[in-house]
Amino acid sequence: MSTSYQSSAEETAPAPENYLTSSRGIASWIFTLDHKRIGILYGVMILLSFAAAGFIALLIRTELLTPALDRAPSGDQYNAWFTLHGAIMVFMVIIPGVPAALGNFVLPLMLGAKDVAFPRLNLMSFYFWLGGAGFLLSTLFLAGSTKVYGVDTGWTLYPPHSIRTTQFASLALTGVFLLGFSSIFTGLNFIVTIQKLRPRAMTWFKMPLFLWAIYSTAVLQVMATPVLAITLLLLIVERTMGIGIFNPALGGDPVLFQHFFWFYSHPAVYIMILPAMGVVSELIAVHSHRHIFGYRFIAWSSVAIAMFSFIVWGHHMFTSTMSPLMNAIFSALTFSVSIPSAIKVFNWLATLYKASISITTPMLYGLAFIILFTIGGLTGLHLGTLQVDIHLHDTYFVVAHFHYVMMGSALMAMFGGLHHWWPKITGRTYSELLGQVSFWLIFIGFNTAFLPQFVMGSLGMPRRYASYPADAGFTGYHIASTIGAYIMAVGFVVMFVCFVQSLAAGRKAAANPWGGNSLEWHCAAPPPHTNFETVPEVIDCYDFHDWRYDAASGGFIKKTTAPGRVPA
Amino acid sequence: MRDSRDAPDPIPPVEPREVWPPYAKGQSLPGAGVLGMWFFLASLTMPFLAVFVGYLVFRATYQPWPPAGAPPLPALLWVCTGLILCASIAVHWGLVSVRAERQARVRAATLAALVLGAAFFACQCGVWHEVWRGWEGVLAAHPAAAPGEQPAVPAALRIFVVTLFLFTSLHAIHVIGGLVLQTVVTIRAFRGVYRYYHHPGITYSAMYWHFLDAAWLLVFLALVLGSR
Ligand SMILES: [Cu+2]
Repeated sequence: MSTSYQSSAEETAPAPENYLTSSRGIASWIFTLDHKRIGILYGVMILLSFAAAGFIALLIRTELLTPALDRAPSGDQYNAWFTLHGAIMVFMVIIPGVPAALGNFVLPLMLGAKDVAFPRLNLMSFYFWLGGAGFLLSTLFLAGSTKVYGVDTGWTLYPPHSIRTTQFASLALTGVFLLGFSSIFTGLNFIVTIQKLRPRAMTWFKMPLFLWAIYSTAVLQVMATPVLAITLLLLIVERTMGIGIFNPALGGDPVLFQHFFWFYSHPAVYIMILPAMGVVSELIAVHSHRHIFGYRFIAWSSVAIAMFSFIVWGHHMFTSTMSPLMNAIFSALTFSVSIPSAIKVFNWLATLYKASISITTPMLYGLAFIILFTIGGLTGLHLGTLQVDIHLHDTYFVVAHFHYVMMGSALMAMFGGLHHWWPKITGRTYSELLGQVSFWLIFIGFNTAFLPQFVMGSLGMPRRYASYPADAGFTGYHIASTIGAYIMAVGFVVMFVCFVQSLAAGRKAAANPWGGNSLEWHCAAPPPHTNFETVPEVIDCYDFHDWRYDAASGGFIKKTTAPGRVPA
Repeated sequence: MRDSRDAPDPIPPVEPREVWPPYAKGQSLPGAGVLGMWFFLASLTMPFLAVFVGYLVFRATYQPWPPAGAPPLPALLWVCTGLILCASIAVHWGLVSVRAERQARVRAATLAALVLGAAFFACQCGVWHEVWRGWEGVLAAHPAAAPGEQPAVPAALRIFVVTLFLFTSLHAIHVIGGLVLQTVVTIRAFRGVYRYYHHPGITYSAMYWHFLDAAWLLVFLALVLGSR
């Protein structure tokens, strides 16, 4: 079978080559075709962007600490802050976060493959991301006629303001356009990789659930993102040539923009949350050492979510002069998405039931996901309900809802996955103490920041306001929210310290520190350049019985003779 | 040698997953490119559908359609349609020929597709010229109320011309990509790179031009039937 390769005697040498040491120098990184290195490049850039957008969030929360507009230089500058916070977080951090960074690293390993199907396209996607990020971030340093740094359109870029604004919106539009292409090419690559590079024995229903989630996401990326691309292109043309597609002053239709935008951006919510759900399926199963419950239900629910997500975009536009009939239809359709989402949650809970749960940092993130996603999802039902949404539209209730889904769910899962695969990626263990301290700071800070926003939103505090009346009763909630944001910031600093400490002084990690059984845990840590010498034997990736804990190496090793099993 | 049918198969009969990744030059994963191409073309279809929907919305908003005083549809649209249908046939001929290892025909077909594609693009430029002339006519018919003001063109007329321009431009952007691709494929075909057992460039360019053909038919039929 492996005639094209040398015998494995070389691989048993004391210091085996891994993907980090197989080649050296800056060129070996910036021109790398290795999916693991590209994953690292994405990961580093995404975490830096997260830090930048998080810093802007702190500026926003600091301004809102007091009712008056006293800390932001101007209201317009405040507009630019929340625009950039949203745009960076959505387009540069959360959308590529799990698929492009973690997915790039883990996906071929899970398939037992040596790389993705199109390694060059993969590298090109990264440079598209980098170019898009450059355009988007360049607006941070450019002041328009009003001495405001950044774009002030909101991340939703609604015309006519996005057509009229004198800020450098075209640069930001170009940036998001390029980021979109990065997303499309990544999705394309992953679809073909999963379809073509699965080992023969790995049928669709033997794939790890993470791959089901990534596949569903990839279909959304490939089919929904082009609509955003054409919308942005039309907006750029509109801004530069003034032809009036979306501009009502010239006979255009601004609501058409909203349809186009949300036709992408609702599926984009699932581009963000589906991979996160895939991560959580892995976290829950591995760290509770129990076979995932309802594999097929979780797998199919990913596909169902992806399909439903194309037909519910109108729930963002209940107040945008759609007909009452269309409003009612979109409201009803929106509820359908809650079914597959709930199926996932129930199956995770059933997996946890009577399992021997290891309370590790990744598991804490996984459990937090279930709680926070449930809150985010249930409050989504409020917003999907037509009559309630008319009241809650554009209030802090919406802000709290989507932060529970985006930050509390998608990013929590991303950080859970980062801790989960950290020993595999770096070959180092991290300090569980620091990891758990940072988790609790983030978790408590998050809820302190966003639970009060549900209350003040339902009391009528509008979103995107830089100031609010001192006597309206919002002040206390805003103070709590700001304190929460700072607690979270401290949590992320602790996480940073934890990772630096791990890289500098972490113990060498075992190949299988958690007792997982999907193929990436059958690979060395860090993996060698070509991952696997031969196509690994395909097993039930959620059957953890063949592994036992080995205190000496700090990880799980194969039971030499598993009862009732004949070695292959 | 170029027309021999009994050339040795250079692809060793190995499990593709064993030799991946393709860091060796020229190696590719069987079937991956075509599958990727299918999804890529599906992706490229979406902007056309979006603009098509936008066109329908405007057509429903502004009644009657075409608005009174609208310039006629450029007659060159019909010529364009004929050219791109021929280009589609040419790439198909290339694909059939390379499968039969008829290298002379492969060269002829790829070159013909390139020429037809370029002619389509030239014809497209002619369409824009006609659209522009029509727009100038509209402007002349609706002069500004006072010097220095915008011309008083009715919204419906403006949108009519704009959709015509945007719809064809969206397609033209994709044609430029197709011309670049077809140029590379033609050069490589003349070098004899494509053999009956391995001709990814010919396959991809054929798929792409069929896509351009289908997308053009959507644009063309929407404009022609929509403007009746
Ligand atoms: Cu939505």
